[in-house]
Amino acid sequence: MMLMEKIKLKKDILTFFYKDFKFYFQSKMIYLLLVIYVAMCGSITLFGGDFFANTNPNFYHFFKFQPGIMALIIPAITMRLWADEYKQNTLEVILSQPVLYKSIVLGKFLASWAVVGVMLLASMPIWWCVSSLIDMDNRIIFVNYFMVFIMSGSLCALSFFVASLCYNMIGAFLLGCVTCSMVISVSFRWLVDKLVPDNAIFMKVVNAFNFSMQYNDIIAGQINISSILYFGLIIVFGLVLSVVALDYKRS
Amino acid sequence: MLIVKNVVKTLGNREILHNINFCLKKGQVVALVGPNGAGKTTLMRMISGFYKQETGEILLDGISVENNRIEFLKNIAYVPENGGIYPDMSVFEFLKFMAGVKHLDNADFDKNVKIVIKNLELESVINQKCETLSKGYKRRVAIAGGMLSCPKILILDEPTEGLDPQQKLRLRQVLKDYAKTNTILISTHIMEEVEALADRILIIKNGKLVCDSTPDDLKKNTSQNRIEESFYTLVNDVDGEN
Repeated sequence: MMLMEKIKLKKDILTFFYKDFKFYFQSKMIYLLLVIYVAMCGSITLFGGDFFANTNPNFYHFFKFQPGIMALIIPAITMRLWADEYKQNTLEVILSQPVLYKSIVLGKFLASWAVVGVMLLASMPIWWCVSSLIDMDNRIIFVNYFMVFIMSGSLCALSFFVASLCYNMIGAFLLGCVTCSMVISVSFRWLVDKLVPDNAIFMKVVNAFNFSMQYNDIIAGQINISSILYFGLIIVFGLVLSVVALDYKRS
Repeated sequence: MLIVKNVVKTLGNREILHNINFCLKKGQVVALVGPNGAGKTTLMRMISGFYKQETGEILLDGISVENNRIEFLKNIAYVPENGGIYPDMSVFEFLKFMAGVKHLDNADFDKNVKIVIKNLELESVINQKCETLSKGYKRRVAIAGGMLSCPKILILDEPTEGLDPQQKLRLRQVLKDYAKTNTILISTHIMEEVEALADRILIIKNGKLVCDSTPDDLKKNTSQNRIEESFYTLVNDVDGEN
C-alpha cells in the first residue's frame, strides 16, 4: 500500500514536471532568457575582472557573479508557474484532483530548476572556449558548476514561493527579484556589531546563515557538505512555504 | 451518495454559504440555480475540494472531503465556468494530462478517451492546440477532461455556455446518458436548460438553499406554468421575506 502511494506520488510529480517543463520550451521567452543569461555570463567572464591580464585557472569571475545573475534570471523563470494557472482558471482544476499539494509543488519546482540546469548547460561553451585557450583545472570548474546548480535551486525555491503568492507575472517577477537580491546581499554583520560586538561565536553562527559567505565557500572548487546542507535547507524551506501558501489559498 | 451537511463558508467577513444541506443520489441531474453572487460557484468549489470547509461535512459514500481528500476527489470531477484548460496543450495532451492526475492507467485511458472524443465530437480537433479552438470546442474539451475518469459526481459550472444550439442539444444528450450511472451537478442561469436536463432543482439565494424539489413540483408549488416564472416567483418571495 505504501509502495503504491509512493509510486503515485512520483507519477504525480512527473506529470506536473513534464507539463511545466514542456511549456517552458514552447514559449519564446525562455529562449530569450537563455540568450540573455549566456550573454551576461560571457561578458562577466571576459570583462568582469582580470581575464585578459591574468590566466584565471578556476574561471573565478564566471562563478563569482552567478548569484547576482541568477537573482534576475530565476524570477523570470518561476514567475509564470502560478500566474498562468490563475489566468487560465486551471488552479481550480488541479487543486480539485486527487493529488497531494506537495506533488504539484515539487513537480513545478523541479521543472523550473531543470530549466536553470539547461541554462547552466548552455553556458558551458564559454568554459570550453576558454579552456581551449588557457590551461584550466576542469575538475574544479565541473564541481563549481554543480555547486552553482545547488545554489540556484535555493533561489528557485524562494522565487517559486514568492510566485505562489502573486496573481500576475509582473508582480511575481518583481517580488522574486527583490527577495532573491535581499537573500544574496543581506549579511547580518551590522546586527551582530550592534548587539554583540566582537563576539566570535555569535559571528560564526551569523556567518553560517550568510548566503554570500556560503556561496563563496563553495566556489573554491571543493564539495562543501555544510554549504550543500545550507542551500538544501533553503530549498526545503521554500517548498514547505509554497505548500502552505497553496493550502492557505483553499481557505 | 454525496451528502452536504450544515455547510457554512465565509470569505473575509461575508458569509457566502449559510447552513447548506442536501444529498445527491446516483442517476440524478441536479441543477443548482440562483442569481449572480448567490454562492453557487462557492458551493461547487467546496464540493470539489478547492475551498476548505469551515463547518459541516461533505461526504461521498461516507468519505469526507476534509479527512480523506485524495480518496474523495478520485470520484469527483469539477469543470469551472471559464477556461479550465491549458491553451498551450493540444486536446489530446490535455486529456492525457487529466488522465495522469486522475491516475488512470493506459488501458482505461485508451478506452475512455475514445468514448469522450466520440461523444463530445472532438475527433476533428484532437491534435489541435486548445488556444486555437472556438469557445464551444474549448468548453467541450474541458468537459471531456472532467468525464474522462468517469467520476461518480460530475460538477459542471455553466456547461453549455458558448455552445451553439445544436451543440447544446448534443451535450444535453451526452450528460443525460452519463447521468444514468452517475450523478451530475450543474450550475446554470438558463432555465430552459434546467427544464431540458435536470430532474431536480436546488435554488440558492444569498447563500441559503431556498428550494430543493423537482422542476414539476416547483411549478406546481408556485402555481406557474414555466420554470423561469417559478424561479422568479420564488426568488422574489424570499426577497420579500428578507
